[in-house]
Amino acid sequence: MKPTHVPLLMLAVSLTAHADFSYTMTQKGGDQTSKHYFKGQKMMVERGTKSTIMDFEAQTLTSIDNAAKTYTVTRFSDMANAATGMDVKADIKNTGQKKTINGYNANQVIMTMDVEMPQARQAGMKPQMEIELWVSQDVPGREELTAFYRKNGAHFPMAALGGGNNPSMQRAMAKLQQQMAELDGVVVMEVIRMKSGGGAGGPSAAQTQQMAQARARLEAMGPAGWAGRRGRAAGAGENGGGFRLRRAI
Amino acid sequence: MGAGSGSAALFETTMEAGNFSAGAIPDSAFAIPAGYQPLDK
Repeated sequence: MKPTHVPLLMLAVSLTAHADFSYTMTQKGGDQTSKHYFKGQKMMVERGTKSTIMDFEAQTLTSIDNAAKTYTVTRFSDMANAATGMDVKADIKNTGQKKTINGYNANQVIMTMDVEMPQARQAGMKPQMEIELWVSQDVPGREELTAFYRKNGAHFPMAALGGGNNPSMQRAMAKLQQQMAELDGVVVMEVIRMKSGGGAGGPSAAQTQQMAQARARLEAMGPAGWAGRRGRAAGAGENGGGFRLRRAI
Repeated sequence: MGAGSGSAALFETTMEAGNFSAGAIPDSAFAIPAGYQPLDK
């Protein structure tokens, strides 16, 4: 690290020192629960006996196994491992649907990722992952989370998390990240669907794994963390006081 | 409620967020616990 970067980093840390936020994600009808923590330039996700810490200052991802009492530290720059040969298209759409979830007024956003792979094409399939998000502006602590992402959102290792050496996946993930950053609210519920999009059989194990990895990468960013940036959310409420999605692309 | 393409879902799961808190989180929560061993990658 260059010495001139140190004061800037210290300033960034001080500006985000109070941006603590945490929440819990629970699988409906299941037993999967994850806890998400945000502080300064770090975020952590706990699932069972496993923890993952992303440090945006150190540019590292630390994976901790609390059962085995072991850990690994990986630099963002060393995380390229995605498959090549995939063509990925991603999009986010605000449907205008509204409902109340756990007491929070929420708006529906549909995120889709279409994956084209040579194997899938041969089988006449078009694997698709659809994530239905319900976004609320009413969540307490939203400002703290917004502050976290305002400081760190641009430093997410999308090139690493979002597809490694696959340019198509990188572009798709970068686009999604940018669009999700425009969401003016906090995700209070998500429904994830894997679809084959045609063909007689389901997606191969490799395709399913690729899509699951993509989803995991997205989840690493939130989903409650997909809060809008305060500056860009200034126009929220213009459409009848409700949520709106701004496209910046 | 599916708002995407019409193809049937092979897999579906629903996650709900809750227990939102803006309370202070100690720095130690983001530290590797003492005594843990690094693994070779």
